[in-house]
Amino acid sequence: MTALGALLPSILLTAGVLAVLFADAAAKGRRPLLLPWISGTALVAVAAVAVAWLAGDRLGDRVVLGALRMDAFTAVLTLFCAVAGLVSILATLVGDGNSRPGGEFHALVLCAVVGMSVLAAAVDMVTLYLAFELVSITGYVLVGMRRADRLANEAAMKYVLFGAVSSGLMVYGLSLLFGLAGGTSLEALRAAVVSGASSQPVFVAAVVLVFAGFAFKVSAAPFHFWAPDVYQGAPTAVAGFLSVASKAAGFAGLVRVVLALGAQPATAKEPIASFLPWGSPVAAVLAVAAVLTMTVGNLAACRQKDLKRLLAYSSIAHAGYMLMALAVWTPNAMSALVFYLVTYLFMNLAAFLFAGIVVRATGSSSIDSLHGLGFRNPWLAAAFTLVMLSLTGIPPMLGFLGKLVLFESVLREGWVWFAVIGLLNGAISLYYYALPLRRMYLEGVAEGAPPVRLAPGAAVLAAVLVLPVVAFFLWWSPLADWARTVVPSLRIGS
Amino acid sequence: MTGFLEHIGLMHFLTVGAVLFCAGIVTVLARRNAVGVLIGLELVLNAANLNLVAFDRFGPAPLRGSVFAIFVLAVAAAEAAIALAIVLNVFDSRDEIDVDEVSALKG
Amino acid sequence: MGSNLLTLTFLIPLAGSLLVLLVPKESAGRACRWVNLLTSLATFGATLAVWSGWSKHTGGGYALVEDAAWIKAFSIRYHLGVDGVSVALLLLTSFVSLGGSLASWNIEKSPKGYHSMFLLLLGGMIGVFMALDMFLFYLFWEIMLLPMYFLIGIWGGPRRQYAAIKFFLYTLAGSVLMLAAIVLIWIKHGTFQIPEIVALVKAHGGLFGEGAEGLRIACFIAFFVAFAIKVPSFPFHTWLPDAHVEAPTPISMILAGVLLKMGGYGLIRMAYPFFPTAAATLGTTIVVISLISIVYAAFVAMAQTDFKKLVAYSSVSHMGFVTLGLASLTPEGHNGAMYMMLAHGTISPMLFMIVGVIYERAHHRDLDRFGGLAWAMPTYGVLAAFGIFASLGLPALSGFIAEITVFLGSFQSFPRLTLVATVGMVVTAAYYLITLQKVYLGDTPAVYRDKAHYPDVSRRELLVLVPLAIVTLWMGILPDGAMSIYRGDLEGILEGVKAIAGKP
Repeated sequence: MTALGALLPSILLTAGVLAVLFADAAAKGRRPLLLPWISGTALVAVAAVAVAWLAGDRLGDRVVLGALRMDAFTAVLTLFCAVAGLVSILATLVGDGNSRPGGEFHALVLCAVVGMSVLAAAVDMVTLYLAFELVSITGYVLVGMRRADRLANEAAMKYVLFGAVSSGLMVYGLSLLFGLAGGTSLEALRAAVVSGASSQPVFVAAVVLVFAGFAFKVSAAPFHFWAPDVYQGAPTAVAGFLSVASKAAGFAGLVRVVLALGAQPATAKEPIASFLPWGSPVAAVLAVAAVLTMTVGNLAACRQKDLKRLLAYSSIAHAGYMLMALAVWTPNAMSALVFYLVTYLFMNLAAFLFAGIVVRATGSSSIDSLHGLGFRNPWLAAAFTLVMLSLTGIPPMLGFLGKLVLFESVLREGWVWFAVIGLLNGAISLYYYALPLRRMYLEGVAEGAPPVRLAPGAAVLAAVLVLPVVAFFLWWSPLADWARTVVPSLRIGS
Repeated sequence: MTGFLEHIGLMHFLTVGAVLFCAGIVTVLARRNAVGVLIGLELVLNAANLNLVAFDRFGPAPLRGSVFAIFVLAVAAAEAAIALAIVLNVFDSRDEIDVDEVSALKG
Repeated sequence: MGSNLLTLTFLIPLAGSLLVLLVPKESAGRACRWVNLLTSLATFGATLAVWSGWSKHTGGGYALVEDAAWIKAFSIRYHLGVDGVSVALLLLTSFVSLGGSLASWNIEKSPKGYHSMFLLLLGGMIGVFMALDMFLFYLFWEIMLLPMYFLIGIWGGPRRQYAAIKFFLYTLAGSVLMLAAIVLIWIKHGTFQIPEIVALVKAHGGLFGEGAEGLRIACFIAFFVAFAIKVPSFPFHTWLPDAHVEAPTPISMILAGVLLKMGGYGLIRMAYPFFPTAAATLGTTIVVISLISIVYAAFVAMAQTDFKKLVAYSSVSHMGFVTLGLASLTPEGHNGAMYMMLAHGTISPMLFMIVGVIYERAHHRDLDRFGGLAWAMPTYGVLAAFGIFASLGLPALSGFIAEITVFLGSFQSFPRLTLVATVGMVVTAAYYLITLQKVYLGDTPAVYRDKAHYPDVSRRELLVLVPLAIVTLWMGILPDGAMSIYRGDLEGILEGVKAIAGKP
């Protein structure tokens, strides 16, 4: 793959950013439909490039420009973030003209996707850091975009303070790793680790600091405190985008870093098998973070009264499940992670889409605003129910398949206690995912509650997201197989 | 005087870096004012920069670290600009930037 | 291969469930119940076809098998098939649902949602009894969970929320355990196919290889608890009285008639054949649990003043005979357990309908406030007395045959312990006779003499009750008819279990 090819998504997106900014300037304050067309086209083009990469098998599995590794994992994550961006942009079109965001929203989403696609490919600390910060900084602005909204302001302030400090921790950790590795590439880091650098105490400290940055990005405990406030205060479409794309990109970067921290060099046949034996400090940190994250997320979610906050804690819990795969770190677990991310994409985007529709119709994001929705708008309520059940992991929904594949990979390594904790967490989560269902169905209809309408466009978008959630169990073999093909190419060197 | 300078090695720089880092973290944790938190953050970032430049000076990969440091500086500037804009916006809307007082969102 | 009859059988109710959603809103009430009734009839017809298709099948094993690759990455197959045990339960399911569908005639609250959920539930139940792939089994098993949750939670009585959530949590807890065991079997043996696993057990004397008895016992317990929650056995039974009391009448009928049988079916189909040694080791424990269920639930039933709760506890008591019979590991015991499932599967819906009939008129179920209903509503009185006698185990009715067969088997294995169960039978007879006395005999209070508010059973209600009564009588007089359907296959399963469990 040539350098130009590797940069194609970034080039397309940057062109999109410029086009959006010009179009916005030319529109003189009006908000033409041209903007979503431009940003949508750019994202579709990027998605198409990623699909072509995957289908054409021309990625070459090597490092381009000394910083970007072009492999199936990169392509998958690029596709993933482009789709998430596209859905978030479409979700903002559902409302009436006044609530549509301006050009800066489109430009920022495109910038964020640039950062995410680069983060997934980055195998150099400098690139990694820059991509990470690009995602973060665009995120801060996206959250605080509605300047007159007090809650959004507050959310943005919390996000930026928390994010800046965690990225400060990360860059300090990276500076130490740079010193240990004698170079900025992750391969140099791995070489240093293999030759024994990991026995130095400063190594563990540096790794913990770098993980802190990623923990912020994926909203893992104890760096999750920002998430509920930010998701509640931010525009719903932005919250959905951050909870899906930003988290996935964080996981992608984390995977590359963990690849570099392995004690043994990978072989061609088994790139990551028994790479982090239980007891290694890195696996221990990840396992503890996984348990902590899912438990904190699920327990805190139980006492939420705000729908968006509830979804925020739910997304923290899901980060915990995904960290389980990282801690187990077998090829099986990594393919489970990819599989899980795909299931999470559909469920969570749909959940935030519905939350947005309800918020717009009722003017409140409280769970109580769902009261009697099962009778006010049966189709919307039914779709919402299915998504909630999927997030819980009830068969035959998509979320169940994700959990099945994930827990299978954990049990296969004999980490029974780990799986048990995960299953217990799943049981806890049933309680709070059932709260909206109770409001919607079991408590009758409130008198004089405003009707909740589903615009045709929103209905189509909802159907596109919910259909896989419900019907995917009929034929999920291809996705499971495909998730396995992604893993062998996952490396950091050429 | 030159003799004195020659005695300054990597560890000295790293120690200063570590002290800066700790000072920054303490500032971040202790300050309730959002601008104060940002000032603490700058200390942390500069600790990282000091490390990077020091490793560059004493390590095997010349320039790499310095380039990294320049990027960190640039990013820090962007981050600070955004952060200050957001903090200013919060101040406009409620005359308050104490991070404990700005708490309409909780639960 | 070649026949898609089984697929068709579970698709009919699912298609009906979707069809209900397409009914226009104006005529929803009437149209939906007709769609429901016709779909239930078609499903009943399909299960009759399955029966005849199965009876033409020769050479043992499963009939009408459909087996196709499905999820290759996890070697999950679309694998359906029936043997005598499943055919008997399929017939029971579609028969009871037909009655339930008729009993649902008066549902007025969101009829579209109700009938759609009802048919979805039916599809799930049918699927459970046909699935030969554990993953598929699990999917069907869980598909029933949601409709049941909503049917209790939306159309139930005053405490419906609590009951629905309790039902949901209990069942889900059980199925998570089952899933863990299923995944463990898959990881160790790479298959989800029930026949393959049974063959593996036969070939190697147990799953998981030598010296894994601890793991086998753990897995058996996981399966047992999952199914015991459904049965329900003491101490997992507490969801049942709540669910029954709050559920609308037709849903109570299906809950008691079919859903509880899935627990017994799971034990027969999976728990026992997969882990024979563990089942033998834990035999005494299971017997004790069963006896507690039988006796304790009977005493609790005696203390009830709510008619429906009384019937609910009597269900727990009767279903104790199922686990008791299975634990004996004798042909008679297993035969009796299965017969109990069929007998209870027809008698208890009948009793719930009887409670429903009077509840619809009186709007309460307080035993102490009724009296002399047999004189006010003669036909109803006769049917009620018939149901009560059937349930307390009067000879010549199906419940008697079931209890006596279970006893015959259980005595061989656990002679002393089994005697305890007679206490349960005596108490059962006592509370039922007291109920009969209180509600149907004696003086009729003036309120119940009002013909306008207390008409005798309607034709529709007769249509629900009489077929159930006929089957009860037929099963009581000619037990060989129903037994001949499942006996051969059930004994085959038991022989497999004993062949392994007999060896240390």
